[in-house]
Amino acid sequence: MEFLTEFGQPLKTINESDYSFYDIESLKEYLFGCPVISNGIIKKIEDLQPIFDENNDALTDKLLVDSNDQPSGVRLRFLTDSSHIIIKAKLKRKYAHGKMLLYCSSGFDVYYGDCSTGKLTHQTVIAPNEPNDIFAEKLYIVPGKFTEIHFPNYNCIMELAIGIENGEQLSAAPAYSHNKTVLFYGNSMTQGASASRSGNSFPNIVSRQFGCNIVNYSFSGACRGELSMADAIGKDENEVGAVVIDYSRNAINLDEFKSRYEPFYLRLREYYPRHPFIFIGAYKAYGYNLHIKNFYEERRKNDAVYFVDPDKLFAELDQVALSIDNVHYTDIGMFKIADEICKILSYSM
Amino acid sequence: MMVNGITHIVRNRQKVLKIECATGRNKETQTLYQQKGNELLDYEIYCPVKNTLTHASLLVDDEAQMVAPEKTDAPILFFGGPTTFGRGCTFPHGMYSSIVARKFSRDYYNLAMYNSRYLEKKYISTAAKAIQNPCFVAAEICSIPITKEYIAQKLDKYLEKLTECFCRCPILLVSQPYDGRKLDNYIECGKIVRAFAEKHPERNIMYLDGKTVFKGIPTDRVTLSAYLTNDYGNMVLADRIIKIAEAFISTI
Repeated sequence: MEFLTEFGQPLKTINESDYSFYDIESLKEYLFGCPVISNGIIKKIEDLQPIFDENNDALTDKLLVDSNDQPSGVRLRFLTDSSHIIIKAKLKRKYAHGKMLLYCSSGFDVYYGDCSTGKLTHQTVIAPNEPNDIFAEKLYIVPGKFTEIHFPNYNCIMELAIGIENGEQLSAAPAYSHNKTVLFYGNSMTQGASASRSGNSFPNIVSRQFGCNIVNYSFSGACRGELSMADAIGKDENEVGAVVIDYSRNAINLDEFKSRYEPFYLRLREYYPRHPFIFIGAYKAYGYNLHIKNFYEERRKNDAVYFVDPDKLFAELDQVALSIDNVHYTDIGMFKIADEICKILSYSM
Repeated sequence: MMVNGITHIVRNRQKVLKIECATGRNKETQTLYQQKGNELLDYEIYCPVKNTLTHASLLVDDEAQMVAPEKTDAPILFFGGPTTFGRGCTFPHGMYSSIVARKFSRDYYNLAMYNSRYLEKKYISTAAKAIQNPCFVAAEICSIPITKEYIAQKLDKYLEKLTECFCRCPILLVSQPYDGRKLDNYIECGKIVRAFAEKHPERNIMYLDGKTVFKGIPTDRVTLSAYLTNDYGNMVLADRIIKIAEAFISTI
C-alpha cells in the first residue's frame, strides 16, 4: 500500500500510466446502496434540515451529519477483464472510529463473486494504517469472477478513483438473485459497530447471503424515528421488498421512544403498505425491547410484521465475546442477526 | 483498539454489568464504573496487547473493599503464534484463550508470540520455571504464515521440550483453522505430530487439526483477512477446545 500526502500526487510504486481511472461520478452505475452523491461525496439523505427541525437538538444534528456521509452499506460491484485494479482513496479521518477495528470503520472489504450463482467469497480487506488518510493499493482480480467492494462503515470517502488496466473493460456485475431491495433504518449497530470489517455489518451480510440489494439508512447515535426521516426513507428510488427497523436506544429516553415508534412505523407504512417489516429488538435494553415486542404482537394481527429478539437469539452465547461493550455486536452477533433476517426474508419477501 | 487501550469487564454475581474497550486511549484518568450501591463487584482489566504499559494505578473510594479473587491452583497455559496472540480479534476477551478460561472459571496465561517464529524451546523452558502446574496446556503449533521448512526444523524439538516440561498435564496441540489455502505446512505438522506420538506414547498429547475446526462454516464468517481468525472464528475454535478439555478437566 502506498500512502500519499495529496490525492493527486503521482504514485511511486505503481505505474499509473498503465491504468485508466474512474472517479465516483463515473462509477455511479456500479454503486449499490448509494442513495445520493453530492459534490462527489456519498450521502444517505440529501437534505437533513427537516430532521434537524423535528429534533431541535444540536448533538443529534451533529451525529446525523457525521453518519450521513459515511457510506455504510454501499457496495461497488463490477466485472472487468483487468488482471489488477488500483483503489485510490482519500478518507476524512486518519484513525479508526472508537470501539471498532480499522477494517470496519475505514475498510474496503473485497469479495469476488461467481457470475452464474452470485455466490461471494471473501478475498481481502484493505484500509490505510493509522495515521494515514490517503492511499493507493493494487488489487488482484480473480479471473472470470465479478468483484464486490464494501465501502467503509464509519469513515467518509472524500475522493475515490478506481484504476482499470488500459484497454480493459469495466462492465456490470450479474444482477442480484432477488430483484428487490431491503431497506435498513437503524443505529450504530446497524451502521456496523462493531464488526471486524466493513462487510460484516448485518445489513451487508444480508445482502450477500440473501442475494439482494440493500440500502443502509443508519445513523450512529442519532436513530430517533423522526417522521421526516420516514419520509426520506420512503422516497428511496429502488423497488423495495422489505424494511428492517432497528430503532431503539438512541431515543433521548423511553418516553420519547414510545411516543415516536408507532407514528414512525405508520408513516413508513404509507410508502410501503404491504411490504414485510422486520423489527429488531434492543439488546440488553429491557424497556425498549418490551415495547417493540408488544408493538409487534399488536401489529401482527393485521400487518406483515416480524420480530427479531436479540436477547433470545444470543441467550446461549458467551455474553462477553458477543459484544465489544455489552451493546455493540462483534461478528458473532452480526451473523446471528443477519441469519435471522435472511430466514424471515426467505418466506416473507 | 485492543492493541493500545485498556479493556475492562465489570460483573456482579448475576451478570456482566459493563464491558469497555480502549479505555484510556486518549485520556489520563478514566472512570471504569460507577455503582449506586456498595455491592462487591468483580473487575477484570486487560492490559494493552501490543503496547507498553509504563504506568498504571487504580483509584478507589476510601471506604472501598479490595478483595483479591480466589486464584485457582491450576491455571490454563496457552502457547503459540498469531492466532493465540489474538491477531484478528476485536478485543482481548474475544480471544479463544479468554473464552476457554472463562468457561472453566480458571486463571490462564497467554504466552503467545505476535509473529510466526514461535516454535522456540526457550519460550517453553522460561514459562516452565514460573508456572509449574497448569491444569492443561494448549499450544498452537502451526499457522497459515508459517513455513513448512520452519516446522520441519523446529517442531519436533519444540514438542520434546513442551512434553518434558509439562509432563504432568494434558497437552492439546492446535493448528490454526484454515480453509485450504496453504496445505504443505499442515501436512508437515501432522506428520511430525504423529511421529512424535508414536515415539512417545506415554506423553499425554492430543492434536486438534485445524482443517476440521471450520468445516462447514463459510470462511468469511470466521476470518478477518487472509490468515487472521476473527471473533467468530475464535469462538468456534474455543468451543472445539472446550469440548476436548471437558473430557479431562473435571478430573483435575
